[in-house]
Amino acid sequence: MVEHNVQPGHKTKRIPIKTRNDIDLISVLYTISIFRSFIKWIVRLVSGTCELQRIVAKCKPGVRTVKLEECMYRSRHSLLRTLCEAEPDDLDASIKNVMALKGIVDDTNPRFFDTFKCCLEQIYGFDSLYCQVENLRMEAYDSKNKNHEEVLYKLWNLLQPDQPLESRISHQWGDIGFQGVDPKTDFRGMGMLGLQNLVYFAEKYTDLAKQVLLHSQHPQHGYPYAIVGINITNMVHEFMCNGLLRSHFYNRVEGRPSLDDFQEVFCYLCYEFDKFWIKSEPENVMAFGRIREEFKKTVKVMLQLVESAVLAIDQT
Amino acid sequence: MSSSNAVTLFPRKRLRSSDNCYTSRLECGVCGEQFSLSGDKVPRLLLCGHSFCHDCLTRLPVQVGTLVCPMDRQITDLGDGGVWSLKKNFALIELMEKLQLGSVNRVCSTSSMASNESTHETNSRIETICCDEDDSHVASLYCLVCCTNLCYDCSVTTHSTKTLSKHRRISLDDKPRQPTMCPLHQTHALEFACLEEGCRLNPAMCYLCKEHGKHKGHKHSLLESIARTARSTARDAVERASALLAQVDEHVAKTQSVLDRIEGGARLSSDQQGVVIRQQLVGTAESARTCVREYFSRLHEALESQEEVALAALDTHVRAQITSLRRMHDDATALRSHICTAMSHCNEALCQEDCLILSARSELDALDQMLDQQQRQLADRVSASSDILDAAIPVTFTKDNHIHIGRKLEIRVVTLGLDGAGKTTLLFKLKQDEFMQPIPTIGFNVETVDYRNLRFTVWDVGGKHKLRPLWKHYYLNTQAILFVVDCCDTERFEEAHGELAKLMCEKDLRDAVLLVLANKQDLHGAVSCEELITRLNLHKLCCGRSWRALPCDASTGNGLEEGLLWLSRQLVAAGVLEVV
Repeated sequence: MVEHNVQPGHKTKRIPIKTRNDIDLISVLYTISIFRSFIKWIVRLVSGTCELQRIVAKCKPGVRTVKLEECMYRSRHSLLRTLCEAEPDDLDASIKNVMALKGIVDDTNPRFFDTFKCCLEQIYGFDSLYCQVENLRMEAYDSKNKNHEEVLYKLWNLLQPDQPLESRISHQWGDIGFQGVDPKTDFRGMGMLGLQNLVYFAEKYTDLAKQVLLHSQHPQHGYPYAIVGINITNMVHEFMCNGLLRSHFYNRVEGRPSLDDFQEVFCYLCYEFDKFWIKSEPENVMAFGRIREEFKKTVKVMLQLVESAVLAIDQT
Repeated sequence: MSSSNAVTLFPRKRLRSSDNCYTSRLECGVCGEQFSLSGDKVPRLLLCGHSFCHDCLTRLPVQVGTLVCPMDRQITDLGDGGVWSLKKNFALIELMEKLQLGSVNRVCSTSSMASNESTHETNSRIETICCDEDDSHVASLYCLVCCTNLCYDCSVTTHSTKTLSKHRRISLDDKPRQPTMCPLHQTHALEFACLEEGCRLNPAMCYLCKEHGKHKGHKHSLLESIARTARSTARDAVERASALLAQVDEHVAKTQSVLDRIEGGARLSSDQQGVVIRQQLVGTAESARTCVREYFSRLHEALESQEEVALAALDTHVRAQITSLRRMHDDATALRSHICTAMSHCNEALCQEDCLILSARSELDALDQMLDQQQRQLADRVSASSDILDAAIPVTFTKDNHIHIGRKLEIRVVTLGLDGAGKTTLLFKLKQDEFMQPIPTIGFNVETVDYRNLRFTVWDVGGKHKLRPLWKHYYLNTQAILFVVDCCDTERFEEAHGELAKLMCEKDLRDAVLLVLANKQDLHGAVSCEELITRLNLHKLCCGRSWRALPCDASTGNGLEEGLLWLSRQLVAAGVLEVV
């Protein structure tokens, strides 16, 4: 696999977090900061703990990070807001500052430091993963680049080990669902990310990938596997951009998520889409747009259930 | 030498008249019928010198083996053979043979020479040679010894003596050409031609001129050979001229016939029985004029019917709108009266004493509820009928003069092209004015795009090879095709051309306007729109439909506005766009 380093200084825009689907009066009022501060002040007076402490103590791991992030994002202290925005050079010191600010004593809350740090790392990890994914996406497929070509050949060999590829430009690419004789035109906006995702799926879940490919090759109800994969990459990328995947990563990965974790999501969606497609019984491939939207809606609903949002292939 | 002069030189021209002359002469004096070379009409010679045909001689009374000449009553003895023993007049037979030969020659030469000259012209040019004895006679013979032209009669009379009768006389046709004498030396014939440049005007010379006269020392050649070449040149010229003449005649005839056909008018022609009929032919100009008149009258009719349809549609629309407005008005009036009643009730209640107003409280509550309900109803009704409450009746016409009443004219557009041409990017750029990350389209996308008073429903169908056969499901009722071409991908122009050619053959797309978008103009190495037109051979391919090729780039949106403008101009009747 080709390695890509996140370029230092690569700026990504802050992804606004969207966690709630149901908007009631309380949550609307809650967003009004005066009302919110007032409630917080009362709760603090009653319980003697700050909001951060309450979240860390009570919430389950994934939800904890989501809530912490939201809490910090809305905080009136610039220290917390900046901590949420970007990773400081010395994380431990920053956490100590926060604890001092909020009057949290280490002795009475022995787990606070570690848990808070873990949550922060998840947040930073997501942002850096976003950078990494974005870099990989923007790396356009170049047929003059040997590494790129190798990855492409690898995809073929993984999916069609029994059939040797006749030539680089060949109609055989259509067998695994590329549009034309040269796959390079199909990566387009998804760049190497699309290819790497396909390869990861084929490499890690070879049997599943072959099964999906076999389904996709049905003459009537099939679909072009590779470009559907690229479409799904686009979908995952979109979820990444609008922050929907945060809850998944926070639930799934303790610490910083890696590119592999991102690609796991892709594998899951590919596999699930195949099932969804077969269940929908489409007349022909023209129904793809509709089915993709329906599928996207289903996945969105899953991701919005903050507590249980996990997109991973059940290997049992 | 001019051709008219050359014609006079040929003896065949004289033959025609002399031929007539001979034939009148060469007939039997008794029966008046023409002699023949053999058979019954063969001329036989009597002792007196008269010749009669065999047939007549056998009819003459035979008196003791003798015949009496019917001309001079001289007696000729017949042998045992009777009339058969008489000698045939071989001189006459020979003459006849020559005459016949001459006529054959004439036929040959006429056919070989300019045969197309009219007989009239030829006759006028014939140069008759008079008899030297009597100018009123026409010469037919030539005496080689006396060098005179003679007619047959004069030849007999002048050469009647024994000595003179030995003179050899020949047909004028065979008369040897007389050498022309030198004007300076009368006794010498002009035999040579001078080849010097200075003597070009008068090159003919005699022996004396050549040796001692003014052409002394000049280069020379035989007059005869020079004349021969001149003659052949003249002959060629005649042939060429006659061919040219034929061409000119043909051309003239053609022009005339075309003129006649254009102008038309009366024409005389004979039918199969040979009866001449006067025909009135209609000229093509007139028929074309009729055609134009018919076309426009049909157009007027069609327009009138379309106008009626449109007016009917408008009337229906207006009537429906008025009906619903009336109903609304009535409802509102009824509502008003309700409210007035309620208001008066309330006012009454206000004037009541405290205990009475308390007893009427439930009634008042009901009134209050009713007011609430009616307020809501009114709001609903107003919001639901916002378009009815608009007095403006926007009217638009499509290119085929169909009326459209309403704010937006809906137009169905299909975006087609090879995979990777930029169809989806184009669609989303049009729709949301934002650049989407391009990914291969599977299936299709459909979006509505509002532009001025038009609402385009744009179908974007994936360009994947296997999807192309499915394009045809999107053709029906399509008013416009956007064919997107990736200008950087020159290798696939041929493929694009093939797909476009297939589209042009589709029956459902026959009336659809075509906008070819030369996409990705912003990228380096993109082919210009003009070159694309030539490379795809669009002028030929899209012949007979309204089409246009425009440069654009979907990622920035340049050129798309022009494309939409052009499309709207094509689909909406002219001048209506400005109304809105």
